[in-house]
Amino acid sequence: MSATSTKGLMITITKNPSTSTPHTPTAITKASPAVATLADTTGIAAGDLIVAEATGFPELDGKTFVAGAVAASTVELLGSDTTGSAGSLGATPILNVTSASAQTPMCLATIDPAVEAPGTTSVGTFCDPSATIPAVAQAGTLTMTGFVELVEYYEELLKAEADGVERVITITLPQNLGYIIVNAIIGSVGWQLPIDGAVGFTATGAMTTKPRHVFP
Amino acid sequence: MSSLYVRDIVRGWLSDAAAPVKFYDTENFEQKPSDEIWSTVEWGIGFNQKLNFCDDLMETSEFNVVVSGPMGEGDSNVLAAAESLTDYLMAQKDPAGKCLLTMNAAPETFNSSLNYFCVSVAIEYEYQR
Repeated sequence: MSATSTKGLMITITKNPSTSTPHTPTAITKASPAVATLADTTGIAAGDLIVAEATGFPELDGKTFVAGAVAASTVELLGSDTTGSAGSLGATPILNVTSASAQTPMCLATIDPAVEAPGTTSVGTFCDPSATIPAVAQAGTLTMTGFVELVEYYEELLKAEADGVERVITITLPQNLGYIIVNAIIGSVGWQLPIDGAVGFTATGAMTTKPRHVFP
Repeated sequence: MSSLYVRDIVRGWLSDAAAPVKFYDTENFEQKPSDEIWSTVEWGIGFNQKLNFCDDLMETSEFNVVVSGPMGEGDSNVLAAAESLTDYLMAQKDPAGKCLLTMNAAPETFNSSLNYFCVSVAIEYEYQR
């Protein structure tokens, strides 16, 4: 067993308006991960974000994946699993690709996607007063901290808080450990102003779906 | 030890004509000060703190400004010079905004010489590398 240092970890955030490029898949495999066939994969690189739309596969539509291996006409959708899917390619499928270079790198001090711990709901009866069933856990809260500097990512966080539009925060783990994808709406940005220290900020967001760790 | 950027900028401030006490750099230099009251600087151990995942580093440390005067003449003149020099230094600003003097201690007697009466003032700084 080993523990990997966070040195080399990178964090990016998507922008609003989105800078994604639509691609039309001509085929999508039933596999884990699914592989999409495109007429041309020019401009798509490993690490790009891909949001599927109207593909005919409910396992894919509306979800965010990370481009894995990219060949001349195919791209892996890391994080997807269409094995056993009942779907088939739709009439107007779209894969919206946001390149890594179109996302804003963030120099954060900490990032904490805190998934809400599952609770229980009591269904006790006189026969079994302690009976419970699992409660539906919310996706949770994303908390990011850093030091205030007038750079692009700090301004993007302020914009995100103001416009309330969902952003995708991608955490690229070091040592080929893959990616953690966080979909969140930034709800607040606050500041810390200690008498002896640096001007810091805390950005908090509600995750719209549970974060996922995807890897090749 | 303090990095070169910090040493150069602090030595620059101490060497400036506006500094209230004449500065002699004694870091690997042999000096024979001709001023009755003079200053030098000694560098402390530096620590690097990682600020973020982009590997930005902050060096935090302190240096000691040592003000020396004649033996056998009490401490008032040397202390007054040390306090004046400290006030002058703490008012200095790095134009690049990378080195910031954050705090100074009170002067303390620093008897490292048989020829001079010395007081030392510790000055803390932060340097964003």
